[in-house]
Amino acid sequence: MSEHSGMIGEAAGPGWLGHAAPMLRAALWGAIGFLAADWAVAAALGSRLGAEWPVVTGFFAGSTGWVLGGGALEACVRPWFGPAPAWDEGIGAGRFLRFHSDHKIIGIQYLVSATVTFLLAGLAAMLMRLELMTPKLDVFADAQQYNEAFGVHGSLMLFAVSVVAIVGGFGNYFVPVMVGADDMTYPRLNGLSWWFLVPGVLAILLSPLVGGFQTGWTGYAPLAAQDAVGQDLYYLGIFALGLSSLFTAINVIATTLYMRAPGLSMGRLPMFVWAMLVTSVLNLIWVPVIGTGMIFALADRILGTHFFDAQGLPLLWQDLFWLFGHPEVYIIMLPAWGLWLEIIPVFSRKRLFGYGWAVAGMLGVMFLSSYVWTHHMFTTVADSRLVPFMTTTELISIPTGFMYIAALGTLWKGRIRLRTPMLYVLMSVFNFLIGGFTGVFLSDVPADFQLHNTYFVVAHFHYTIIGGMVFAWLAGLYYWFPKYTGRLYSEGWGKLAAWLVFLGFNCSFLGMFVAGFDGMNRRVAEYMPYLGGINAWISVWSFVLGLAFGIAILNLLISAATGKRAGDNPWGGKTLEWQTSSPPPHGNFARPPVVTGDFYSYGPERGVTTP
Amino acid sequence: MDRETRNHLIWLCLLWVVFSAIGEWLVQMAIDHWPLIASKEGAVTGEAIFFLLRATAPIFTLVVLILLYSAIRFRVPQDDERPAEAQFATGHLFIAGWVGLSVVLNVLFIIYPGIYGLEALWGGAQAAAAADPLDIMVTAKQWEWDFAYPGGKVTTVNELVVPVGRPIRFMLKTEDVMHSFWVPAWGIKKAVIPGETRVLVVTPTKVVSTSADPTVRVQCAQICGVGHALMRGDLRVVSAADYQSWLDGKTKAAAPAMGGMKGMNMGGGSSGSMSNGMTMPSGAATMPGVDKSGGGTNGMGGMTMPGASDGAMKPGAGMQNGTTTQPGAGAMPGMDMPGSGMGGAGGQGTTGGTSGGMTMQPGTGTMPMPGASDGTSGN
Amino acid sequence: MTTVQDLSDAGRRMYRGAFFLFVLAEAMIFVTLFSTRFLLAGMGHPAEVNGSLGLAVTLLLVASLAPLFAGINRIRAGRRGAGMLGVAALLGALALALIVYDWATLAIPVGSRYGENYVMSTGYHALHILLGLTGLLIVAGADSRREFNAANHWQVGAAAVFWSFVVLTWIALFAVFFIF
Repeated sequence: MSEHSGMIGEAAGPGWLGHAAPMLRAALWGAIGFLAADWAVAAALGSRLGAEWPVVTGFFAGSTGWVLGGGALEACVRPWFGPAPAWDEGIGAGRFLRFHSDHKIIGIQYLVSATVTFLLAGLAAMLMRLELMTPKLDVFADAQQYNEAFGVHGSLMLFAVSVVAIVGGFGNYFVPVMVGADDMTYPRLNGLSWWFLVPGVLAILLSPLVGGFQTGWTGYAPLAAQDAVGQDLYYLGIFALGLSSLFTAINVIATTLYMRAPGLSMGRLPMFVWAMLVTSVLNLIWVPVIGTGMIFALADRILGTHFFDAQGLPLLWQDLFWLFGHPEVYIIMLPAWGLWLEIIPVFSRKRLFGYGWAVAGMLGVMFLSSYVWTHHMFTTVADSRLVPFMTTTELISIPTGFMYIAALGTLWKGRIRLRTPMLYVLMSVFNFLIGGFTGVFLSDVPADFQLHNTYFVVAHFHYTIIGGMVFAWLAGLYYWFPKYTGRLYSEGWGKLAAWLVFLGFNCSFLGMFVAGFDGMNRRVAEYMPYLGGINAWISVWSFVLGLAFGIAILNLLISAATGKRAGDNPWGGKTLEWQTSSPPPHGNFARPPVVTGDFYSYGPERGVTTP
Repeated sequence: MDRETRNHLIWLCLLWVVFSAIGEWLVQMAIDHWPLIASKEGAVTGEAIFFLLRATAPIFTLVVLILLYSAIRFRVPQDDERPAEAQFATGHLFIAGWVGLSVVLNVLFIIYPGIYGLEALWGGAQAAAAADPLDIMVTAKQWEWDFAYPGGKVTTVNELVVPVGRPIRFMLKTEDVMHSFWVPAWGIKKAVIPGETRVLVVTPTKVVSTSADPTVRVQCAQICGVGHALMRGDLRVVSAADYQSWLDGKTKAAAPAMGGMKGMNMGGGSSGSMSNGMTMPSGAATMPGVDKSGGGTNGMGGMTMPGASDGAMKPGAGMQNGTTTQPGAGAMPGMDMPGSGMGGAGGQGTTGGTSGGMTMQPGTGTMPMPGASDGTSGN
Repeated sequence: MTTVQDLSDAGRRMYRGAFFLFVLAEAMIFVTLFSTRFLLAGMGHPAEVNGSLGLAVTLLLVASLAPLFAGINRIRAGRRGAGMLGVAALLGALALALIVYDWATLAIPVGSRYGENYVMSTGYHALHILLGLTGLLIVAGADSRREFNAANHWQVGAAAVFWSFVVLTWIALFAVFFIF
């Protein structure tokens, strides 16, 4: 019987309330923590409940209450003071609703929260597109609301979906299984990481309640100083999300380096694990930098320092932000490449082409990605920085190309099965090509002088993030669906949704390139009437896109409840996760696996891994 | 190479030629219907975009074709689990070709249109400094554009009138947060940073106006708060004579008794010093970088610093060497700020370390003609 | 975490190596802090900086390393090191108290570029001292409950690595804020 059946089916044993008790306790403690601190500080300072200090302290107290209430108190804190860890990790559906140290449970927690956040932030995007149907302001009450909407949309999509969905979801679930380990290095730290994610998401999502923030996801100073308390929640939320990413990064690196199965040399590491490793290194190095930047900015607002205002260095914020922010887009994209190269061989029934080149490309991107951040600031920085950063930015497309070498070389003369995951991967390869080529335009300083901060940029990064990463994420959701649910999804609905997503996405975002060329600037609720036609076109197709995403995700939800049993290895994959049951038992493998060959051999010598 | 592979490749090549031609045709169609480009700088940035469109179309076509060809030609039923016959894991010709091509293309794109375009922009700005530029002070604030014309008498709000064919040097300042000065039809934008004065040189080439073409407008391109979307101004590019009569009319309206723009007109008045780029006849306050320091001498002090640091960074002939690769990431802040800190602590005597640092930015950060030429004349 | 776990050599190596990842991430914070100090305040420091107090903190922290390593060596030898670890924590607590005293009597204008960087960096560092102290006290408490043996005590090693990192970053901070 499937280990995860409790997730969908009958609540055995404790009953619904018993299952959810830890989560409810976490919510209660979080709410009490927030309200108590908020009220106490407001009373002490004689300020409103919604003022800065009360809200900031409230956030810390509320987050602490939430994390401890979820079970961290019993599982993590109490053992420090003597007593043995005493935390009931629950059964059935209850496992997902409490602090849990099993990486597979945590992976599902991440996947679910990322999906929910994706839908919520996508809803904000739908509202924005509805507003942009016409040149005048007509959906939102004022421009401030629109600004808050794109701030919430961007921040959540970037910090709580893109960098989290694959790394936190699939990374947590599959890295240990794919390296043949029983769990992560620090299982309890891993458990904590998801609990830090939730306050971060909530802080950004609820920031409009205290005035929101109008700076978009980049939080540029000194506009940020003018914002309401919502801006503080932006800093705090991203700080919490960063902490969560950092914990995952430490675990992924340590697990990959130290917990590989016998025979699994680094040269045999599956591509997805390579991608996770490289991504985690970037997270490890750059998340602390932006975290510190967030603290600086918060101090500017609540302590009255002058790091980023006109007395300090407004551009320093941009430097600190993009020092993380540009590696971040590779933190987003590297896992997607890992998924491409994981899925393509399985559905081409052919050896992975140019494994070494793909790994070298990932490492090359990792190194170069830390030296390109200024290309977000070509119109703001000193001339002396233009050429060096144009050079590094252009050069990063060379290692990026190695992914295409591997992908195309594997497809060539394969036996290609166009199942839903493969369809999504091929679409992702296509979309990212457009994203990449338009990136060449933006890396080219003269062209960027015109295109910067226009809808061309909006289209470009949506092509990399939706077109590249979200398509790959959907591919992963479908590819591993039989593994993490034990069931098969509906192929027909899956393909229909894939084509709808592809159509809606390309039609709407190709239109944005045109709008950008036509002189439409970013982050506006109103625009000049001559841009009305193209915006209406974009909006209509974006609604198709939203609907299609809904179908794709609904298909997974329905299939999780009603799909046919999948068996252990429905696609004939050779990596280790397919060599155990679906879903894997606690500890992942009945017997510790031993690897005796590479994972991408489909020739006569197949069957080289022994579980 | 077996026959089957050869057939695949021949088909691929044929399709590539056909679809590349279609792609180039589409690109040409797009370029023929391009939005208005109405300045010399816009011609440079526009040409960069056109070149990249033309150059990337066939490469894009090639990759997509390989993808589609494989997906269609090598497709099998989705339940067919048999392994492919070919199980190669490398192909030296393909990889070498790909890597070689991508290196060549990247180097090409860095040189042209990248460095070449920058040279054209910087060179154009330098030439403009020597060729009777019209200095307009632009003050961005939430949420309007204030323009101050030479002479100090004429100011407009959200309305910019400029002559065609003459270089215009916009001195960009902000009173509050970051903004970005952008005229879509001019094809170039520049961020306006608090505490600094940025310089943007544009030479309009077409007589147009916002009412005739909405891409001819002054638009804030950096989110700056609630009024960001509507922070735009009307722009009229008129003939030199029309501009003069407009300016005269405005001047009369502003100060009916005086014809006072004569002494202060930076363009006409001091063409002798113009060759040095010392467009600073009387009011130091019109020069970039002096908004924080008080009087004229301090202003000059602030101005020589960028010259010096510019000279140090770009030895020799200033502009042409401006594109030599500066060492690495920290170059800008590292070179500007320590100097500023010491300037503040030491004998610079301006308002303070940070403001010293701010005044340096214009020299290094933007069209370097005030700084660079000031440096050469000052040294 | 402090129950005796019988780890293999590979397991101990893993915990040791993985802990350095924490330290690397923490180091990036101080890289950011220190480079911001130079970017915003340039070289040099105001005369009001309390150098003798900074030196005293440095000496206290460096001195705390001696009982720290003595404590580890005792545990490694199968004896109890809780007392020594406690002494190290005491020295650290004194250093923390000095920093708090420094904040209370700060002569540098906090609003100046140097001042805000000084407060930010020392504040961040004080937070790390607090974390390090917590770690030391936890492992000292666990050791006094005999939860470690000569072979299995990677938690003590982790606390020691973190504390050594705190000491090293203070030395760097001393150089960055009191010497340059």
